[in-house]
Order: sequence, then C-alpha cells, then structure tokens
Amino acid sequence: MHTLFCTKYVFNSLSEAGYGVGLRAIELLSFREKGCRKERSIIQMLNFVRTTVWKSLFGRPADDLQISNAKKNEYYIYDNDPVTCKYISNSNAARCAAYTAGIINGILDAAEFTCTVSSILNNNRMVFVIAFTSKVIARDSS
Amino acid sequence: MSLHTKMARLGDSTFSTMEKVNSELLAMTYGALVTTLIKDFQDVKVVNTELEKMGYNIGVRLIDEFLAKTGVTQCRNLKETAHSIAKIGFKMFLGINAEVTWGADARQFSIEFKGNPLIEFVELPEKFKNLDYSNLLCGVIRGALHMVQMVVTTELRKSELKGDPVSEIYVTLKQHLAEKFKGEDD
Repeated sequence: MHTLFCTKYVFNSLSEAGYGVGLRAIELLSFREKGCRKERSIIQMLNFVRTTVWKSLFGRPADDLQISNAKKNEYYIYDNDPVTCKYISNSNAARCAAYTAGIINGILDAAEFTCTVSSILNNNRMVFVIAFTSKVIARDSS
Repeated sequence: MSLHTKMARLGDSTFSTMEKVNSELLAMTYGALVTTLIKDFQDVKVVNTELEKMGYNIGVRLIDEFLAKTGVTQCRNLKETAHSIAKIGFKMFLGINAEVTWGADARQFSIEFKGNPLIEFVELPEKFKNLDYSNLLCGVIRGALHMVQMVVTTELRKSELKGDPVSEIYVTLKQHLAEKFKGEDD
C-alpha cells in the first residue's frame, strides 16, 4: 500500500507538490505584484522569478541568474541558502530543493514558458537548472 | 501582573524575535502535503492518522525550540501548561492568539483559536468532509507534551473549515510519566 519508501518517488512527489504551489503562486503574485502584466521574453520572466517570486516566497531575491555557455536553452538560478533544506540533517538534504524546483516549474509552465527544472548542489550553492523547450527558445529569438 | 498577562507578553515578544517565513508559502506547502497524502493513502481516516503522526514527530523537536527561545521553566500544574501552549506556543509559532477553556474535569482542556494560517485558501470538498485538515497541530501538542513527561490524547473537535466559528483542539491528560534513569553501576 505504501509507495512512499522508494526515495526517487519521494523526491518526484516533492517536485509535483511544488508544481501545484507554483501554479497558484503565479496567479497570486501576478495579481498582487505586477498588476497582471504578462512577461514576453525569457529574461524578463526569469528576472521576475529571481526577484519578485523569490522575495515574496523566501524573503530575499535569489543570488544569481546565469545563462549556460554550452546549451542555449539552459538557464541557472543560484540560491546559497535554500529554506527547504535548512533543518534536515541527513544526506538527502540537498535533494529537498526538488520542492522549490517544482515551484519554479509550475510558475514558468503557467506563464507559457514550458520547461523542465532540476536542482543540483554545486560548490555549496543550490543551482536550479531551467531547460526551456525548443519552441520557447524559437519564440523568444523571433 | 497576572501570570496569564506575563505569558501573553512573552508570547508576543518571542514571536517578534522568531525568524519568519511567508505564511502563504506555509499554507500552500501544507496543502500540497495533505494533497499528496490523500493521493497516496486514499482513505481519509488513514490520512488523519498520518497527519497526527507527522505532527508528533514535529512536536518532539519543537518543544526544544520552545524551551530554548522562551526560557520558561517547569510548569507547576496542568493549568499553566495549557496556558503556555495557548498563549506562548501558538503565538510564537503560528502568530495567532488562542484561548483555553476547561473541560469536564481538571485533566481536560481545550484550546480555541481563529485565523489558523494553515487553512488559508483552503476549502474542503464534500467527499473529504471527515478530513481533519489541521490534525498536524494535534500531533504537535501530543509530541511536545510527551517530551515533558505528559501523555495526552488530542482531538480536533471543531474546525473553521467545517463551518464552525472557531477551531478547537481538545486535550486530555492520560498520565504523567516518571523520569527513568538507566542504572550506571549496579
């Protein structure tokens, strides 16, 4: 009955849970913070996520936003101290950022910037890797 | 100054020094948690028990935080314990004011509160009308009191989600535990 004991399932569940929160968060934040304006370009949308969303959810803006050198559809958001990993003592702490990755995914998908988001710990900083689909990239460059 | 006013003041001052998180993020995270539990277990009764178990695990750790941040010393009787939970605990962790009312005998009391941040944005659909959404809080109280040698049972009697004007957690003291020390030499 309990399907919870497989760790991969746990972190996928976290991501899915975050996805639902992201869908609702963008509705709330667009209304409250932006006066219902729609972002048109990837960079504007990611800046919205990095500043407004992060500030409202976590109390401070995210630390950095970068575009990948190698892959043109990948962007990185850095967070030095993700709140979801704060009080967890075992080795799976970093993987709990899957929840925040899910939130970002929900927000971007709802804003029609379809993508996949994953979280990786790199040099003690949490990196959220956002890979947009080719349709979004093509739309953005036109 | 009466003890209750002192407790209320302590609750307020501790609340102002606590590190805060966005209450909407908390509400939505809790909602996502309950939704995932329902998806996994399907049965509302099982979900209620799981929420209470999770709350118990939170409570056994939260009591350390409570004692460290407030510096309250041992409560002399159940009345003080009840008021500590309602005036200090609820205020510092949830930011809401709670009231204590006494039950049928001196071992039972209920904590009534309004404005629970966990139920923000939530509506219970008809098929989940038996879901005790805030059951986590019942578990927290049970876990925290267990760590200070009191075995209690808790019950979510009224809930604002089910249409009641206030939410109510009913606490019954079952027994006090004696501290056991492992014999070192003999």
